[in-house]
This record gives sequence, C-alpha cells and structure tokens, in this order.
Amino acid sequence: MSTNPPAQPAPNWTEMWMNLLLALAPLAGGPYAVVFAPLMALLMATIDVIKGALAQTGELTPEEVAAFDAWLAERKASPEWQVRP
Amino acid sequence: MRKAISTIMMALFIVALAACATVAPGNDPVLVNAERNLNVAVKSLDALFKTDYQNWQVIDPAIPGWKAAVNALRITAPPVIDAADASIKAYRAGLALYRVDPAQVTQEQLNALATDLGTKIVAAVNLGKQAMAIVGQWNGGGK
Repeated sequence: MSTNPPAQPAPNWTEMWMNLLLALAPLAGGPYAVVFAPLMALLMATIDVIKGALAQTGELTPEEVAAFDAWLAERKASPEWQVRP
Repeated sequence: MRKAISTIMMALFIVALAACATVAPGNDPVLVNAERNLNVAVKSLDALFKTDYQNWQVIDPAIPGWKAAVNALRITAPPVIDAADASIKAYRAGLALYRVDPAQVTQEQLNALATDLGTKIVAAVNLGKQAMAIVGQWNGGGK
C-alpha cells in the first residue's frame, strides 16, 4: 500500500455545484423557466452522481471496474456523446 | 417558484450531507480518490451531454455559445477520460504487485505511477469543471 502518496487533486465538487444551484435559483420563477427546468434537471442529476461517488469509501472491486468500463464504452458510443451537427 | 426553491433547498441539504467523503481503513487513498473523481467527472459530462441532447431546441436559442461549448467537450473529453482510466488501471496493477511483493514494485515506482495518475485525473476533473462552467454561463439572458 502507498504509505506516502503524492498529492492528489481534491476538487470541491460540492461547493462548485452548490454555487451553481444558488446562481440559478432566481431564474425559477422568471420568464426563463423553460430553460431553467432542463438546467435544474442537469444539476440534480449531477448531485446524484456526487452523492454516489462520495459514498465510495473503498477501492472498486474487479466487477465494479468491469461494470464502469462497460458503462463508459456504452456512453461514449451513444448519440448523446457525439458532436451535434 | 416556491416549489422550485424548495427543490433547490432540498438539493443543497442533500449535497451538504454528502460532503463527508472518507477512505475506509485498508484501502489506498490514491486509488480511491482517483476512482471517485473520475467517476464524478465522467458522469457530470454524461449528464451535460444528455441534457443537451434532449433539450437543445430550448437551450440553444436562449444561451449563446452553448452548442459550441458542449460540442467542444464532446471532442476533447473521450481521450482525456481514456487516459485517466488507463492511468488508474496502471496504478491499480502496480499497487497489486506492491502488496504481494514490494520487491517487484518499489514504493518509488508506485509513487511515480501515482504522480502520473494525479496529472491525468486533474485533466479529467477540469473537464467536469468545464461542464459546470457551461451551465454557469447562463445568466438569464443578461436581463
């Protein structure tokens, strides 16, 4: 086991997305609600991701690694990930 | 309006609860943090790409530069993610050897792998930050 690992990046995802939530809050009731809705859904989806990731306290098992790789390959091949003309 | 604000407050509460990420004893913090950060970065990008794909008819007219910014990430993200994922695999393999027999992989070699891993993860994390910045550029159409 690594006893003296080099410094790792420590992005504060929570703070970043919190700031975005607060920035978007005033738009909820305005004439831009039509845009607010999908952006809010995006933020909520990302918060779920953060929650799931922060729940990870141990190294991924081989099965979890394989599942992530399969998911990533599927997502990269999906139409959502392709450049939109 | 009230419902939307309630949703936001609930989201803030949930995020605040989730802010305490730890590494369980016996697990390598370099590996756990790398896996965690890559997971968040990739899934943040995925959420952005899905949102764009499903709502571009609404968002494009409202947010100048949105389409170009999202498409730019679609081009730059895959190789960066692949590099970070490969670096995690290299570190994981080195760590496994080190745990079995430190003579096969020394602490210095493991640290070198960790340094490379850190660089690749930073690049992936920066993509996640860019995804956030794209959303953050929306300011109500400047009104």
